[in-house]
Amino acid sequence: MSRLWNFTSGLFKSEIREFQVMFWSFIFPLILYFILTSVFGSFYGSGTQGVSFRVGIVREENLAGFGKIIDEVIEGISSESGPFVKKEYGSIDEALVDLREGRQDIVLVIPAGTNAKMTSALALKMGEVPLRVHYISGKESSTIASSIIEEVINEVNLEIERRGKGDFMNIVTETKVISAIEEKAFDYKEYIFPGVALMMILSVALFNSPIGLIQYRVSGVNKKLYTTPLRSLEYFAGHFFKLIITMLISLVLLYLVAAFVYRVGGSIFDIRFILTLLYSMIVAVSFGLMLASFSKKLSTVTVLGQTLYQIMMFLGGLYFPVFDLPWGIRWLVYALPTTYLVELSRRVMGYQFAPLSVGWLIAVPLIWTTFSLVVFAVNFKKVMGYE
Amino acid sequence: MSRNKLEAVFIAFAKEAFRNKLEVFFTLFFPMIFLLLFGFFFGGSSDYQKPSLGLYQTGAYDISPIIEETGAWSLSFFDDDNSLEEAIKAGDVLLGVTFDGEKISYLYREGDVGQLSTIEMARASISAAVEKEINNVKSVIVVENIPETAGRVRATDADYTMSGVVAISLLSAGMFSVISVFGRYRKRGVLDRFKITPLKPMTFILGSTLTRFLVSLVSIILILIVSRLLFKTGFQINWPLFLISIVSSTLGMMALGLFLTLLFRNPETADTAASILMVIMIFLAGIYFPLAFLPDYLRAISSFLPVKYVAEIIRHSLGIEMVSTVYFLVTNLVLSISGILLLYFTGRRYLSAS
Repeated sequence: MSRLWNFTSGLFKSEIREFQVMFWSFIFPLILYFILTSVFGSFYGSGTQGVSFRVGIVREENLAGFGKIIDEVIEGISSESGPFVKKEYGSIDEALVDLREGRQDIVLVIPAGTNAKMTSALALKMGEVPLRVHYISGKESSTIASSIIEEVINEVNLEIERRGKGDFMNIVTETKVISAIEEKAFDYKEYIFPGVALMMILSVALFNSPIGLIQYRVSGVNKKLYTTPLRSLEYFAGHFFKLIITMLISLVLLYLVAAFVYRVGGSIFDIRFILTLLYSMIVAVSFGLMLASFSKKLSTVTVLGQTLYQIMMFLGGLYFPVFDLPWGIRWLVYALPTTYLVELSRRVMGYQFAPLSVGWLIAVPLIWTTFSLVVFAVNFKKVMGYE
Repeated sequence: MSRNKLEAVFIAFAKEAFRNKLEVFFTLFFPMIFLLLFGFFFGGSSDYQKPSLGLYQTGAYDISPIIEETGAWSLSFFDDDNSLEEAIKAGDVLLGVTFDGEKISYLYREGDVGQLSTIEMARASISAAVEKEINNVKSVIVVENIPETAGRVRATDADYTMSGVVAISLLSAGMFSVISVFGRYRKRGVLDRFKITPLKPMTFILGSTLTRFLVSLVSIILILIVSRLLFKTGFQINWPLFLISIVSSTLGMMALGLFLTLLFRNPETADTAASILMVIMIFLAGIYFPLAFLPDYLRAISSFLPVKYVAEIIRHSLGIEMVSTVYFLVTNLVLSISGILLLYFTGRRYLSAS
């Protein structure tokens, strides 16, 4: 036992002395967690707090009288908590140049005659007040900003009617979230945690493991090891434990950041959630072993590893939902083990994204594990470089 | 500088680049993986389908014409709320709506983050439209949305996403290649061998730089072809401006790689730093995600990321978003000059025989 421990500890030390391994296994997941929560935390957060679009305002006449209502609306949406930052322009041409050159997201034009039209619409109940919103077609920030302006104006219209009409019928609106276990508020920092954890597990399993095995074979280290009393099973167990220890250390770091920096609690400490991560480790490691058995050279394993890593990360739904992708690519989503593993972890957290039962979430990765281990076992001598 | 020597160095570097499986993979095929992934995620595919909305209503008032009028939803009807919930759970319906004449309930699957903004918008617009219709509200203020074209063509989501893929590809091809040439060659002692030959440092630098231009160009042309075929991009390319942008962007991105090589003596460390920069730029440069959603401090950081400017000049030359002529010229000049200066200093530092 101590022989195995010594060998594992030696392999582990040699592994983490490599700067690349140290960085990609331990530091990069923390950086990615920070970037994703910073970028998408507000994207998927509640309300428009922190969101800031740029709106250029062109006044073809200064607002007065009833027209001041529009001024109040503009002030309201471009105040400190509002989703817009406004800039006044003297002419439409100047504003459109800035819109086309990306300095504004939309341009709101208050046409000449607005004051008179507002008076007519409100006092005489005649006519309507047109406002023009110029936006850039195809540009996401611009189309979202124009939709928000439209919604705001809709609300203003309803509010005007509500105040002027005694028998206005308010429609009650309620939201019901259909979830796996119970209704809970969506927390992006919690949601993304299993995605980042699985990314780390994948990077260890698809890079460290097969590259380590092939490097030892091609550099002749294996041949030297075979001259020692070390048995092949011990060698393999040492390699396996080295990977698991690397993953566990990285996971502890990720937990510390999640708990103390982002205050994520509860579900990620649930023992069932931790078990799903351990299951993911076993599945990913066996997948990495299969990868090693397909590759003779380091360059081949690097190319295969990178390709599979990106595909399994993005199409596995680690960061973005994948079940609304076109069927031309969605079949791949169903074929990947990561789709099931990340969904399994999130299901334990109380989320449900995939239209799949828990049975499938466990069975498909298990099939992949069995298949991978069989392929590895068949190619064992080739991978380990036995003559 | 002898033309023959330059040609020989260029051919040698080009052969090495195209024979090296790893380099071919990372410069030509790796961007394709991103193109496909980001294209499907953010670019919208050509077989666009309206999101599905399931409706179950019990009141006297029928709100289905209001929803249909928006033209944004594929509407289906349900006989009870249980079957609607089941359809949502199964992913057949994105948004469920129940209406009893007084109350509208919106049902959706927990944490369907990709669709949250669509759902939020739908909730606001459907409720407002129903309230408006039931109360026979006459709009006082109406908004006329006028689509504008920022470039020579009316761009689509796919055009914006694919131009981003081109910018990221230029970043990758420029930045990583010089780390390989000046970092790994130096570590392996290859540069020391060159020093003792009669080859001028400038010939070596020009030869390797021309190869980078060639590799970048091949990579970009592949991206343009695949994005045209798969995502129906409608670029109207101004080839002279596009070639200028590719050359200056490659030089600018090489400058970034050279800066990392000078900063970190170990090429593996420089490579790692480049990878971090790459991830940061993918998420924070406003290429795939609107900067409007970033917190203020990240928005400030994004203005220091060179790939943001590369994306702008690429979009300009592809005809999807114009910038002013002065801005285009200054950006190209800054990228080119920084590349040339750093190539000159790095060359002098690592290739001069003294």
